[in-house]
Amino acid sequence: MADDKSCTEETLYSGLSPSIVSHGSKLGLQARSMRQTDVVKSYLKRHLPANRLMANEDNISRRQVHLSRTVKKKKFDLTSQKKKKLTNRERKGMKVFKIPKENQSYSQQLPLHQAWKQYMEEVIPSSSVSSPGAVQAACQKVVKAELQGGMLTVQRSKCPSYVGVCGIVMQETRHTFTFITSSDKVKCVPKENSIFALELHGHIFTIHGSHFKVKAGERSSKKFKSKPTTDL
Amino acid sequence: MGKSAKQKGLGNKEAYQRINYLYQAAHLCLQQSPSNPEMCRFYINTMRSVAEKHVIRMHPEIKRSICKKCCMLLLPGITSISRNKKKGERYTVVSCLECGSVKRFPWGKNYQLWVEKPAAWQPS
Repeated sequence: MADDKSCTEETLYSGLSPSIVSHGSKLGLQARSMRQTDVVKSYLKRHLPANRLMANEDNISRRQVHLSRTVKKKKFDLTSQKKKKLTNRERKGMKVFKIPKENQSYSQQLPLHQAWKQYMEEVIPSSSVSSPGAVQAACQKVVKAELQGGMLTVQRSKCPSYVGVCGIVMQETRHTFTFITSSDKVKCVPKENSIFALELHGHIFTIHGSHFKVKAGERSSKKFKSKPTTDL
Repeated sequence: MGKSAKQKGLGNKEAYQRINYLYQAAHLCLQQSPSNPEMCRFYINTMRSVAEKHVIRMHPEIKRSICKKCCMLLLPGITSISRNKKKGERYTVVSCLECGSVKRFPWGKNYQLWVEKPAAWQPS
């Protein structure tokens, strides 16, 4: 078994050539910290039928295959190639975008929040929001910026149990925000009848959810008109 | 002509920044939690709709790393398989491991992308 290990690590996967390594270190590139085994395990778990996974271990059960058996080649099917995109209804049925509520952790989303902070610094530099006039311009930018990855708090809401929910936005749909709170809970809050607060460079921006009901992707091209504030 | 093109580019700056962020966020999500690719998919879908709404041409390198069917990032060896084929015209086949859809990218001698042509970078 010891021989086996050395075989897989050293001979099978040779390292990158020295020129690439030196060039990469000059540029300050870092190796991706994704673990191959994690990826493979999670992939197998999702795609293999349950009876092929062993009960205690994560290994796949083995099956004998006759190599001499000839396999007929499938004909190229044109009809399956015609339809390439999924329709929205099919997507909903397959739950392509549905985030599972279990096994989510706040600490995993923190790097995303850091990336979002950098992005917001790029869109609205902290030096630009010193005068009150500039804050007005920043408001217009916040409305059109990305909020997924940002930290939002529910300031006021018609439903009292939503008030005070604070977390990193994981998903923004037309009618809801999905948060992950610091206690590792996934919460879905409707935009209707609630007011959200966003902290940025020492300013607090309030977002009226009732006026904000647009899809995340379409928001940046929509024109927002000033409306009278709603009573909750 | 050049002036107007510049102004147009500046106007879309926020959209470009947003696309850039979303693409990186999708990579980050896949790296953080490979067991649930839903968030990665949602970010890619949002990115695509932003680009569609602003009528922005995404770079082929970004466009080719996205599955058309299930909006997944296609990282060779992790979420996709890529194989070279040499029958007739040479091309690479990239198949998505999540949904099984296939993309084919030719790379023959005379094949050239629009971005690689010098005409793409000259103001018309």
